[in-house]
This record gives sequence, structure tokens and C-alpha cells, in this order.
Amino acid sequence: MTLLEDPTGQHWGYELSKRSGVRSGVLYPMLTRMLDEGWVEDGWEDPTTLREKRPPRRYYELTDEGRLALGGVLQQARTEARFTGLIGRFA
Amino acid sequence: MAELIDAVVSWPSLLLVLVVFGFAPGFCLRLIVLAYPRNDPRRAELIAELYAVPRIQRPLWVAEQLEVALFEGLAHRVSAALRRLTGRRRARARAGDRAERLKFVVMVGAVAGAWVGVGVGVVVGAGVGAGAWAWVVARVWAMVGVVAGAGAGAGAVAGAVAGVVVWAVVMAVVVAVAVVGAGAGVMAVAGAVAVAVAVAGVGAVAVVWDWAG
Repeated sequence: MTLLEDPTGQHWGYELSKRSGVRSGVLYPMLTRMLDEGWVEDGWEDPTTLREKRPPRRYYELTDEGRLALGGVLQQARTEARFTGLIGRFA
Repeated sequence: MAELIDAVVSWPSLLLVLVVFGFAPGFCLRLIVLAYPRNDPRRAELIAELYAVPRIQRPLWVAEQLEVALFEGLAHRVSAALRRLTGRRRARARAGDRAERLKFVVMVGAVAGAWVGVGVGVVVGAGVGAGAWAWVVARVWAMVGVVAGAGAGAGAVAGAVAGVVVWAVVMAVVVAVAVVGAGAGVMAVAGAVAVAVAVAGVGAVAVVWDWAG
């Protein structure tokens, strides 16, 4: 759901974890599965554009397939009452 | 309270804070990511993410990564090790197959090579033989030609000689006939003249005899 808040943007693991409230022990395996499924694709920050002294971070972007798939998941979740609170902000 | 403040601002406490919030998270995280396979991008990703985490949260975040690394990284390592083991078995099997295929290829190659060699040998041998045969035949025919030419030449010479001889003989005969003819003619003329003279003499004698008579 957090990925769909900015479907075309770049997302980082820690940022996704903080925004979604999902622990990294759950989030990273999910991201790995989504990568395997082709829902997201990953990349690395360009080191020449970094202003801080830190290594380039790995980002994740939703693919078209991922957007469609997550849209379908969202559509399905809307029909189930138990997800109402979760998807309220996407309604 | 003063004791507490003293304890907080003491060197050991400062050292402890530096270790817990400064040195330890990065050091421990670098040890933790070793649980991931060598080429796993998660190694670099987690180290880079550490710098995005506020310092105060780093120790706990690193502890969380230990949990992830133990269950995700070690699982990857085990599966990678299993893949390597099965890959080696497959490689060994493939190597065995390769040896068998190599033997088969060598055998087929040897047989094919032998047949090709035989074929090439036959063709080359036939060519050389034919060439040699043609050379010999040419030589023989050349000799025959020479002989025939010589014979022809000799024959021609002989023929020419014979022709000359025949011509000479014929000419001689012709000349002889002519000569004989001419002689005969001359003799005939002479005989005729003689006959005529004789007749004339007889007639003159007769006339004279008559006249005298």
C-alpha cells in the first residue's frame, strides 16, 4: 500500500519500513518476493549525485506489472471489511 | 542526582555511548551482513540503509537486521551451498557425459577420418596413377608416333625412291619405246626409201631396158 502512495517514485527499505510500520524482518523478504515476481525493480543511487558521505542506497520502483497487481490486490481488499482501516487512505 | 550527572558525563559513559551508538552498530552490521551470500545486494543495501537510520535507533535497527540475516541470509547461504553441491554433482555428471561424448566423437572422428583418408587416398592415387598412366601412355604414344613417323618417313622415302625408280623405269621404257619406235620408223622410212629406190631402179632399168630394147 505504501508503494502505491507514490506509484512512480523511488522507495528505500528503511523509508518503506517506517511509513508502512512493517518491521524490516518482514519487509525485506516481501521486497525480495516482489522482485522475483517482477512487481518491483531495484536500482542503486548514482554516487555522483550524493551530497552526504554515505554509500549509495538501493531503491525500489514499482513496475507496470506491479502497479496492476497491487491495484488488483487493493481492489480485492476493498471488498473485505477487515482491510477497511488499512485501505481507507487509498479509497 | 549529582552522582547520576557525574556518572552520565564520566569518560566511561561517553565511551560507552560512542561504542553503542557510533562504533558498534556499523561494526556489528558489517559482521551481520556476512550471513548473506557474497553476491547478495542486501549486504551493500543494509550498510547503506544504516546511514539513513537515526543514530538513536541504530542499535535496535541493527539487532533487527541480525534477526533478518539469521533467517534470510543463512537460508540463502544454505540453499546456495546446496545448489553448489548439486551443481557439482551435475557438473561431475556433465563431465562424465562430456568424457563419453568426447570418446564417441573421437571414435566417430577416427572412423570418419579413416574413411575420408581412404577416399582422398583413392582419389589422389587414382589421379596420380591416371597421371602416371597418361604420362606413360603419352610417352608410349610419343614413341609409337616417333616410330610411326620414322616408319612413315622411311616409307615415304622408300616410296619416293620407289616412285623415282618406277618413274625412271617407266620413263626408260617410254624412251626405249620411243627410241625403238623412232628406229623402227627410221628403218621403215629407210626401207620404204630403199623399196622406192629399188622400185625406181627396177623401173629405170625397165625403162632403160625397154628404151634400150
